[in-house]
Amino acid sequence: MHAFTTSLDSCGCVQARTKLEEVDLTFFLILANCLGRVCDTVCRSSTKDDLMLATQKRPAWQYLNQVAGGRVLISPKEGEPFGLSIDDVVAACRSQENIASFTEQVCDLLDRVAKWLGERASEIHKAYFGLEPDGAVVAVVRQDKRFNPDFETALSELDLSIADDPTFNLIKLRVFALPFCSDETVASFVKYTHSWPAPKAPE
Amino acid sequence: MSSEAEHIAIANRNQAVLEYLLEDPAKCAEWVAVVAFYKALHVVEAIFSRDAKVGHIHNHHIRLEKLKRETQYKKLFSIYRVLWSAASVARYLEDSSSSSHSGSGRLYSRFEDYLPIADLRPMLLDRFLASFEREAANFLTPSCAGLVRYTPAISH
Repeated sequence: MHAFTTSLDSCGCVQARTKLEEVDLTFFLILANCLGRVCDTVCRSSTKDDLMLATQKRPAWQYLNQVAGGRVLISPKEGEPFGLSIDDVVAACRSQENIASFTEQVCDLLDRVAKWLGERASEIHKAYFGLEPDGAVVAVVRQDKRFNPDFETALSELDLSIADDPTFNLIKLRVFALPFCSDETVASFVKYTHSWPAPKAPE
Repeated sequence: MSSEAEHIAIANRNQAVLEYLLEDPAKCAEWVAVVAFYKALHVVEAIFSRDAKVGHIHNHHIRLEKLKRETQYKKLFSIYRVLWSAASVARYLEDSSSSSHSGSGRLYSRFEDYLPIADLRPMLLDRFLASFEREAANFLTPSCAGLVRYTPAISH
């Protein structure tokens, strides 16, 4: 595990460094975000250590400074923003150099899964996303308790289509369906950080 | 590292257990799903033992990942993933909060909620285990290396 420190440099850029290796993550974290989906005005307070972002439209993800280690704040198109510890991200993508690309891919993955869920809104109660050391996990909780072979087959197809998509080349994903059960039960299957609310059926 | 024959021998032992459990599936339906999955797991390992690029794998998640990423195994993956998922529900899903929702009957409380006894064979074994073994035959030595295949209920 690496302890990260961050500060603002004279240009207002966030410097993120590991005490062990003094690796500057600025390039990876900021540049890729800029290349990605951050298009709107970003106002940054230079008076505080923490990166303060006020945006009219939220960026897909941001690196946040925290005393006890960095966090990546993901702002999916659907649902509330959520944080991932930088250590979890590094473990899941197995490379500091890929943190930015990996995080960008996680954002795209969330959109992709949200779209799939939306197409099956009538069957799905809720879905959960978690990042574990061996990759990303998506658990889909169905509206009913019954095993549904067609739904399972569709889930396998989703899994394969994501694995085959070079856009997600850094992500190892595991998806599974659960019968209708509580949040607490899902938590015993996946340490989730994000959930999709019951998708609305298309009108 | 175990050989194809060793993995097939274990798969056949799982088949024997499966046949025993299916004599009275109501007794422990969840174990039908678990044993079916472990049979498939050893068939996968038998296939991998013949593939120098892959070899033996100790971890469920890595095994799924290998099946998913290797082009020739993608079809196996899509069936195997379902067997893995059903076995995970059978082994690990326990909703302790379901008692507080008793009456609504919506929450999962036991495996038969998920796979009623009458559906075990047609929806899980016939559809997934049997087709998994058909597909796996393409990767095993002739005569499926002696694999005793599951016989779908419909052919009884």
